[in-house]
Amino acid sequence: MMRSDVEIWIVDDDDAVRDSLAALLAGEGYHARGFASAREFLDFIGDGARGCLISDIRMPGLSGLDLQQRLLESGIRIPIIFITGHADVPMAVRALKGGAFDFLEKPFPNHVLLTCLAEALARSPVGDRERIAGTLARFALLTERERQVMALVVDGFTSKEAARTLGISPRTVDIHRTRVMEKMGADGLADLVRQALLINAEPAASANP
Amino acid sequence: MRPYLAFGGRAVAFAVLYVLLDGLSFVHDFHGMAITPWNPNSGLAVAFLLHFGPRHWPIVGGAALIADLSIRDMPLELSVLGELAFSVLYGAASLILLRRGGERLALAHPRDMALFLFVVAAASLLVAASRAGLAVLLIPVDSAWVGGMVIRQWIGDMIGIALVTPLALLLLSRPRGGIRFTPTLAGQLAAMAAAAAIVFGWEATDEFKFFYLLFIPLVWGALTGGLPTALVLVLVAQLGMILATSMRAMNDDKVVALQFAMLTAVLTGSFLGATADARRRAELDARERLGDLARLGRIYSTNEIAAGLAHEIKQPMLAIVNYVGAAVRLLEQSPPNVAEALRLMRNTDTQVARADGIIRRMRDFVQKGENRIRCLDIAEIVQEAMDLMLPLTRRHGIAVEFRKEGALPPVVVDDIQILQVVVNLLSNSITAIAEAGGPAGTISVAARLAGRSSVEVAVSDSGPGLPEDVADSLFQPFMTTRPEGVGIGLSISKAIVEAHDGRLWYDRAASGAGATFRFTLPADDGDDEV
Repeated sequence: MMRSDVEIWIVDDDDAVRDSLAALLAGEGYHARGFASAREFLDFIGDGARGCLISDIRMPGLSGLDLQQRLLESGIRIPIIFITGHADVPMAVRALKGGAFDFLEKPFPNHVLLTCLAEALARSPVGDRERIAGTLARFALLTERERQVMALVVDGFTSKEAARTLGISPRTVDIHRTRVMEKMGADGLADLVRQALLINAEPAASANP
Repeated sequence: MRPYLAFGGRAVAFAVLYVLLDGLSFVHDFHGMAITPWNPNSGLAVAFLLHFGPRHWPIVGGAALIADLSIRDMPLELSVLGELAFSVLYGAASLILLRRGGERLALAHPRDMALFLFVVAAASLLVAASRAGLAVLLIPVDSAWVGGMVIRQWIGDMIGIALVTPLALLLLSRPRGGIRFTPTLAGQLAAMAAAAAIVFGWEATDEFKFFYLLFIPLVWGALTGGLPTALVLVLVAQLGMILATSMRAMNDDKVVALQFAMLTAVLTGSFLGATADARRRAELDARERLGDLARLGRIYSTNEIAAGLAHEIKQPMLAIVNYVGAAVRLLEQSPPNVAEALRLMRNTDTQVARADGIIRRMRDFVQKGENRIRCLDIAEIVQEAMDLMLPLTRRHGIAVEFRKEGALPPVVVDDIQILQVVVNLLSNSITAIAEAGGPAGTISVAARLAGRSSVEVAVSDSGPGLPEDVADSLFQPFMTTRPEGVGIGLSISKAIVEAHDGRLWYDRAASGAGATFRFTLPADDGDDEV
């Protein structure tokens, strides 16, 4: 598939973010088109459109998550990469459970977005299976305690809350958490959540005792 | 060497001034003796001792001796002994005053002023008694004159010191305290000069009957300008009196009696002025405390909007990363597309300025704004508050609209504090809407002219509104409905608005669905005195 065959839609109410992303993507040979609001994008998009959506989450009017919901309801299946300035675990969980391809925290280096975009466009069941296998392999390296900490962190617990639940000190939780991030190769909370969702959705995750 | 030079310099300057003053005020002398009912030079001496320290008494004695020898024709031993008593006694008085009143005698404080006048009265009485006693012992003086000598000398020193010492200390103090020449002061001086002309200059008027006229400008000046103005005004009256009585060659006894009347004016002006100063200082203190409290409140508000700020800064950061990335790719092409790359790179300037603006705005908001009283359009403040809160309103998908009804006169306010009030009201509305968790909310801000001379700002939201029981205790400190709230926002806002002579209230009637808060600020009527 040629890059020029697909469109990249950028929904962000910030003019500079939209314009700069479009410039970056154009330089990579993509056809990029910006929308200042979710509403504007919904008016534009039709069935059978081929491409990938890059959308902010928090916007006045319809939020990115509302947009995702509307698209699902209209039966429009396009990969979505969310970009947001607030990395908030429940929000990330909701976005990823809703089928978002990824969840990037602003600001991100060019290559992270470009890699993510390429993956989203090339998304295939095979690719997903490979990702799941990789995640499961890394998850197998975690100790029991690290798995507990990961589960709580992914559920949106703060270190303090997790410490209370597990009956250990917040400092210990932080140490476990750092190790979990390392072992899982996660480059951020959103990535960890994404990986956790990936293996929870998979029956193989029951290998987890 | 330098300290000695400075010491010598001030000794010489003092001596010259002292001799000049003594010469100028050598009027109405008592039977040719060095006893006059108006001694501003004594006031200068006490000021010198208080400012530079009582150990300077020999300089005072020396200057007084030079003055005596050059102005009056008196036996040497009488001059030497008289000025010795003079310098030692006032040196001792200064020592007592500095011990009792602390390093810096605060004459603009009624208590210190009372102490000062009491000690000076005692010391000048001793000086007067020693001069009279020495005169009786050393030269043949009619013993019937002793009473007259003591009274003249005492009243002369007393007025001279009560009037000149505080003024001289004010001029010596750093920063130069107190007297700014304003139109008001000019009016007061003119009124005092006119009153003095009527009372003393006009042969037909009875000085004693009309003396009370002097109190009108005096009270006016003391209440508006405090101690310095009061003293300057009495000085004008005093000089007017001395000038008039000398020109009219008025009888000595009458001059002494007038000096006693003048002493009541000095005492009235001093205490009234000191009390007015103390009042003003208390008011300033209260204002400063409100300022500190307000700053504390701003720090809490800042915490609340800090998360929003972090987000707001990520936007320009991301835009910069993207523009630079895109430009790099354009330059790596062959042939490189330099023109387009440059265009993209130039965009980063705007984004850096934008990030800088966000940080600056936040810093300005928290920093103590001193003397930020400005005359401006209330719309500017509302806009600034909306910009500050933009991250939060965006985050909660709240639309904020601002309506300005007609042309509004400017307001004269501490812009940061009023900004804080608007931010606080917006923040309350945002929290109310966000906690209710309903569909996208709205906040509307409206500014209009209320009455003839004030501007009213209303902040209404589409939140759930306030329960009745909360509405009653709304403005009490530490009253909050939020678990993480501190509950000082509204009470500080109210205090700020009231310090601006405005009013802030919760408008029950207008609160249909959400809550409506209103505040008023006096409009600038173009008067410079605000």
